[in-house]
Formats: sequence, C-alpha cells, structure tokens
Amino acid sequence: MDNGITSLDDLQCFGRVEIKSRTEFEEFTLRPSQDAVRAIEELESASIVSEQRLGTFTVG
Amino acid sequence: MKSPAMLGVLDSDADWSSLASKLEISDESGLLKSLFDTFRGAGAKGFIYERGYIDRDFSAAFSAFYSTLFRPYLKYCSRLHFFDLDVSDLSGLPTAEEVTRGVDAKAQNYLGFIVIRPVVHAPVGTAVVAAERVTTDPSVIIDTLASYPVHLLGADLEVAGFPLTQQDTRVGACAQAAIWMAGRHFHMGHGGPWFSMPAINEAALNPTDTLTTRSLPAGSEFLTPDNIVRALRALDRHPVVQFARPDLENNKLIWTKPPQNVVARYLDSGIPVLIGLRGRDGAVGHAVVAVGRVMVDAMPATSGNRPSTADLVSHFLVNDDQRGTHQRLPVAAKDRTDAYPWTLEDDALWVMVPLPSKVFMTGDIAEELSRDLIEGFVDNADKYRDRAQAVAPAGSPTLGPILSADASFYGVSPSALVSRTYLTFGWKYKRRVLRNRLPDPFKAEILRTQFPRYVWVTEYSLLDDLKGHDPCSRKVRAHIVLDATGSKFFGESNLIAQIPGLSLFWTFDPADPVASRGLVWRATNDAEPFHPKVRGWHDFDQCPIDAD
Repeated sequence: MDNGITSLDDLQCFGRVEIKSRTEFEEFTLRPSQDAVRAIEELESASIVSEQRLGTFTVG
Repeated sequence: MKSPAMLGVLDSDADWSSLASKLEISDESGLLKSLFDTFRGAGAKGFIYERGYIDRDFSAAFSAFYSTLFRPYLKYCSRLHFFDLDVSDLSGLPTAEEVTRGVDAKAQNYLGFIVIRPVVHAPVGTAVVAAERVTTDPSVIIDTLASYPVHLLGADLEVAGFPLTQQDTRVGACAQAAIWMAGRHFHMGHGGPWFSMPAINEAALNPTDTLTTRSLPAGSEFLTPDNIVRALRALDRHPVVQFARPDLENNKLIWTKPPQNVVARYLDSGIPVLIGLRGRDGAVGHAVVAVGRVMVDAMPATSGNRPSTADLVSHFLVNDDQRGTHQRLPVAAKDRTDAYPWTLEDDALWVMVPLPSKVFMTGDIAEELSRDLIEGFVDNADKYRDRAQAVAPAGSPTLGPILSADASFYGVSPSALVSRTYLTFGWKYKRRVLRNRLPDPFKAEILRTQFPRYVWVTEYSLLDDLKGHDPCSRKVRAHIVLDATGSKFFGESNLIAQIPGLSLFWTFDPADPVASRGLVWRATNDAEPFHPKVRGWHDFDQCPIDAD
C-alpha cells in the first residue's frame, strides 16, 4: 500500500500451503479416530458409574 | 487501640520449642508446631509478634458464631511474622520512623506469617510461608502461588505462597478448610471473590440435606462432594470431579486412569486440586489441597505405553489443615511412610479441580485427543510434505524425507513419546512460543494467530529428553494445541499440531467461520528441540543458547 500504512510480511513462501476449499479441507484435516472417540466415551461412563457409588462419601 | 509488638531471636532448639509458651499461644492441635518446623526449615532466624490484630476472617466467624455463644470469646487475633535474620536490632532504634523504615529494609528477608485466632482448639487462622524458601531442592515444584501483601508496623511486606487454614471444629471440618484454601488462592492470585468460612458454609449447605444436618451446626463435622461443589461454584469456580471405583472385596480403589495423571496435569496448569482421602475403618475421610509436586530426575524404566510426565511425580505437596503446609503425599502405595498417613494410590477417592470458566474440556480428554492427533499427523506427514513440494515455485529447494528433520523423534513410535498436558492462557502460550526455539516459519504463523482464552497444550518429548531437574536442559520435540472451549468430537478443538519439520494450523475467517474453514501447513527441512514451559517464565532468555 502507498498510504503510509504497512503490513507484516507476506506469509507465502517455500514450504507453506494454505487450503480453503471444502474438499481439500476434508482431505487434509485430522479428526479423532474411532479409537479415540471410544476411549473418551469409556472415560466419561466410568466416571459416572464411580460417582454413583461414592456420591455420599464424606470428608471432615 | 494500642497494638504492641514483640520481637525475638530464633536460633536454638530452645528458642523454637519455647516460642509458643513465651508468646502465651495455646495450641491443643499440634498444627502450630508443624508450622514452626516449616518456618524453621525455610530459614527463620527472627520474629515479630503483632498483637491486637483484627483478622477479617476471624471477624466473620466471630460475627456469625462466637458472638452468639453464652461463653465470651475474644475478637482480636495476633499475627506472628518470620524473617530469615535476627530482627532484634529494631528494638534498639530510637524513633518510630526508624523502626518502620527498619522493617521496610527487611522486606527481602520476610518469610511469611501465621494469624493466631483466640480459640485454643484451632489457633491457626491463616498461615502463608514463602514458597520459594520452603525448599531449595530442585526436585520440588510449587505450582500454585499468589502474593499476599502484609502491613506491619507501618511497613509494607509481601509473601508469595499458598495459604493454610486450620479447621475450626466448632463450625467446620477439613472440607471447608480445603475450600477456603483454594478459594483464597483464587482471590489473591486471580481476582476471585473473597469468601469467609461462614460464607463457605452457607454456600455448601444451600440447599441443605439430611446427611450434613446430622451435626450441629450443620456441616460442622463433614461435607459431601456435592456440598463442596456447591461452595466452589459460589466461589466462581467450575469444578470438575473424578471418582475412583471402590473394589469392596479387596478394599482397593480402582481408577480408570491413574489419579496422579489428573492431579499432575492441573497442578502443572497452576490450579490447586482438592483430594478426598478415605478414612480408616469406615471413618469420615479427609480433604487436602494439592499445591505442588516432587519430581524424580528421569522417567522410570517401567513407564509403559503412552508415558506422561506424571510418571515423574513421586509425591504431591498438599496443604493439610491438620498437619501443615507442603506435606508430602506419596503417589505410590509402596512409598508410604510414617511421615504421612495416606498415599494417593491407596487412598484417593476423588479429585476435584476448581477450574475457571470457559474451560469445557477436561485434561484427560484433551490428552486423549492430543495423543490421537499426533499419531495421525506423524502417520500422514509425508502427504503434507508432498503437497508442499508440489506447489512450491520452480527452483525451490527440495523437501527431504520427514525422517531427516529429526531421526530420533521419528525413530520411535508416537505411543512411546512422553506427553505433558497443561491448561494455559492462549496469550501466554503465544508469548512463550514466540520466544522459544521453534522454526521461524512456525512462529510466522503463530504471530498472526488468535487464540481462545484457554488452550490445552500437550508437549511431546523422548524419554531421554527429560533427564535432570534443570528446565534449560530438558527438551520438547512436538506439541499439540487444542481449544479448551472446543468440542471433544469432530476435531473442532484442533488449533495447532507441530512435529519436527511440519506444523499444521486450523484456520477460519471470523466473518464466515463454518464455510471458511481452512488449513495452513508449513514444511521445513530443519528442526531442533525446544524448551518446555516453565512455571513463571514468559521466555527462555535465562537458558544458555548452546544448552542441549
């Protein structure tokens, strides 16, 4: 720009890739695997079962 | 009101053993002796005893309870201040101004204070000891610190530590004491609300229930986890609770994941953790607050699949309202000694983490997602590099195989990497990472990236990267950043994945966040290990440049 306002350096350079199309996003994004989803569900259900057994445990 | 002060020397065993009696402080609990031991260990050589001290906490208890009793109680407290040098020279100063300036001059020697309540069954109102002086042992990390300003004889002093209070058995139990300690830390360190013990009781018992009304005043003998959660919510915290599963046949407690992983993660995030320990032979249990960690200097050889830095923790430092500050709670049952009656492995029934708002993902889920993400990223690394090479302008250098960026890292399975997961402010992450030894192309992306208030960061290291206690000599090879407000499903919490030679950023345009979802990645040929986060450091300038 020639109005005295400058910007930070252009980020485009060797080794940089930027994608915005939906198709490419779906190709390259990473999502939790089925194993991870299952592990999270097990973590949460285990916590609920334990809570039901210990909800009246008292500290004093 | 006149507020006389006394001062004296703490040099010999006799000076310490006679301190309470000389000052006419009665203590039926033994806690005071433990605190004296702590201050002595911190290097105390002199004291100033301030009488007629009006303590805001005890004033609240007096107003709510003691003033309503038939037997009269005093309202005024006293406060005992400790210094790491003899302060008796103050008594020889000729003018008041010289005395106050003399106290000012000893600000660097101040080690903290104990507020003494005028009730012999629970004399310790508040105690704060300078955490950095508790030990010089580099294996000890005190994770939760706040500054406590102190006004004494017209001088301004300050101590950084974590507060201890003693349960006043007339009106509360260890549970209220644990809530108070955590709450006061958030008040002093993070601008949270100020709650007195009566206010904590009120919050814990509203709505009340049949269990807590088995004692009078209600809740004075014990609280349930529900009561504690209610009080923490009133303190503007958003607690998350994890329970063990009791194996009654074998008298064991079963955790889905080791509880030290949970406690270590949140302590590493600077958040104190309440721990519920089971009572002996069916008795009421005990609540303590974890404030720090004792670390071994290398990963145990027994660390199996998916090791974490929690495996380095041998003990948690807990503030125990009946035993004192920074008590060592062993993690493993085999490390039980007579010094402390519980271990985490055998006795922890629940852990309760008083999180701030805007954290919608727990640490164990963040770690699970992060592990999954780094495994997927390593598996697909060449795909990202191939694409980067394909779109590079003619004449660009060649991207070598990812293996050459860090052969040590890619020589092991991702499941063998040691993880360290912690919650931090997005702005703090950005500040630290821009001052770390990451590649410039990575920092160029970070510079323009906006972050949520809180992010979960998982650092990944090789086993040998974590030897010794010097933070400058420890190394990190990769890290994952997740949005702490994000969903645990669909990958919506992904922000950054970085492995040697490759980094991936999830982006969106705020004007149209759904349709504009995008990805940016950076492939480089060079990579070097970088520094782990260190509590209290905003940069790594104190590390030698050539440190490996």
